[in-house]
Amino acid sequence: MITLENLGKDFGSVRAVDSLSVTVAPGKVTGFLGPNGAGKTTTMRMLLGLDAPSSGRALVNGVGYAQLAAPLRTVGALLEPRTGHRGQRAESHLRGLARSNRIPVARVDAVLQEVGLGEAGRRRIGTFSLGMRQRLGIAAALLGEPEVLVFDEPVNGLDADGVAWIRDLMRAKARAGATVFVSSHLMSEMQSTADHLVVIGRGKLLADESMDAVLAASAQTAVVVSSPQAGVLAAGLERAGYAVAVAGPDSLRVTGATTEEVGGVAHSLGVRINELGLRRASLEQAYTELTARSLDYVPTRIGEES
Amino acid sequence: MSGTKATQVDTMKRAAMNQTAGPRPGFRAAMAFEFTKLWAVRSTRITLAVALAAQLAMAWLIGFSAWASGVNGYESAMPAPFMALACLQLAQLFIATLAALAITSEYSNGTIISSLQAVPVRSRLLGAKAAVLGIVGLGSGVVLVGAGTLVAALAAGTYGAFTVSDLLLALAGGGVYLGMLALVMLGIGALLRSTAGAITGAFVLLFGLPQILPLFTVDWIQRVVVYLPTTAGQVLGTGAVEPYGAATAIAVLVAWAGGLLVAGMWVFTRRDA
Repeated sequence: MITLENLGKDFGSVRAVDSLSVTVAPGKVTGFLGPNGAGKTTTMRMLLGLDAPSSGRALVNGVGYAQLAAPLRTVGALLEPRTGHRGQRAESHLRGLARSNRIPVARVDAVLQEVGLGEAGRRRIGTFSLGMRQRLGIAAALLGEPEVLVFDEPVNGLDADGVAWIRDLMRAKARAGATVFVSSHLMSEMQSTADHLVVIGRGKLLADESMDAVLAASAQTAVVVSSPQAGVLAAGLERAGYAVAVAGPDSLRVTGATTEEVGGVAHSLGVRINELGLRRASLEQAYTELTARSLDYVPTRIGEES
Repeated sequence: MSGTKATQVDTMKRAAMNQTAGPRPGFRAAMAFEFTKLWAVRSTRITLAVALAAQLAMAWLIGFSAWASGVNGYESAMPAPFMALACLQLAQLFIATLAALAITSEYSNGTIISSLQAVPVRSRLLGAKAAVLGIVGLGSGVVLVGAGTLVAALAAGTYGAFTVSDLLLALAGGGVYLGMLALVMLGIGALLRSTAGAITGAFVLLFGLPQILPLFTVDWIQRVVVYLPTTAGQVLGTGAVEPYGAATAIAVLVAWAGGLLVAGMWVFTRRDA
């Protein structure tokens, strides 16, 4: 379990992270979303004790990272793809990490196999592609069989197979009870991976909700119903208090209602229905609305921040 | 907060800190980590090999020149171990670079992130580096002086005659000198975080100041210049009594190493990685 308590970080006069209070629970994948420069990486660095918070605390299982007796056996983290010395062999890099936390050295071969680097373990890290380095970073994260996983943009540099692999990995670890906290700016990828979302913008918390709740809250999520008597149905739905828009000659978009409720209204009116279905918003749409709704959030122009 | 919740959090905290499953890693685990990182990189082994090659070449040159001067009637005899010790002037550069790289390359490669994830207690991480580098420096000093003595003695013949106590003194002096030098460089590296900066610092300290300061005839500079680490190293290895004895020489080296290491530690434990 990860707990952020009023976590804040100032860089000079810039408030990179502003009073974040979030609990990341075990047993699910929690997506950490926000535009570049929103403070995701800074938050993760504070969680891992790399940067000192200006205010508040970041805790793992109730204690600060530096107080963990064997940190690699509790938290597995992937922060950036530059992992290990270029001149060092992959397996030796992992062996050093294993020794530092008294993890059985046999785990080195096991994780190299697990991430698909079994053959490449003897190679020097400098010869690795970005995707291979990413896999090596994940191998290092899994080395101590940790119960908490912290991944910053893990799909960077991975090909389609790699993306699917890491999604399955995170889902499997969460199912097995791990706390999985993963940042990304790729909404389509998050939609198929995360159960819960923490959204920040300009260092501030914008949302801390389940994926279902975030998607349901979107104006883009609507019930689409088509009927030869669309006019009658529309009048009935509006009387029942739902927002109705015309979507086509015979079809309506109803927001704020479930399919059951729309079906119930049609049934009570005796109106024939040809189609009834839920159009869910994409996470991309829900996210855009969410960030736009936040009063003090101003979308970053392209090129303004790295 | 309700009582039960407080107890739950407490239990969790204890579990996280005690980690009953598996052995607790401490300072020795951190040292094993540092040794693995140091030895696994090819450049470490190359640097040590080059240091040895440079030492042997220098020792042969000095030994041979002592012999050549001696047979031509000049007063050039010197115990071979002291010749080997003088040769450290060159070889020390490689050891200094190695020690600085142990911390600066972590920043240039980005490995400081994974190192601090593995050993988040910063004093422990830097302390383990200091222990490993101190041992490597000490061992290098002994090996370089020992091998240099052999070559210098062969080249100098009777003009390099020495006693066992000459040899032991030079071995101890070379070992302590390079061990302390490694700590000096680790301290500078932790302060500056840049390889170029640390190596420039080494040049200034080991060559620049000993060359430039004596040019000033100001009294206090003349008094201070003998407390540079290079002078202390020479005193320690040759059993000289001028400008001070072995005890003072050791104190001088320890003060340099300790001072810079403490400064490096102060910055390292406070700065964001």
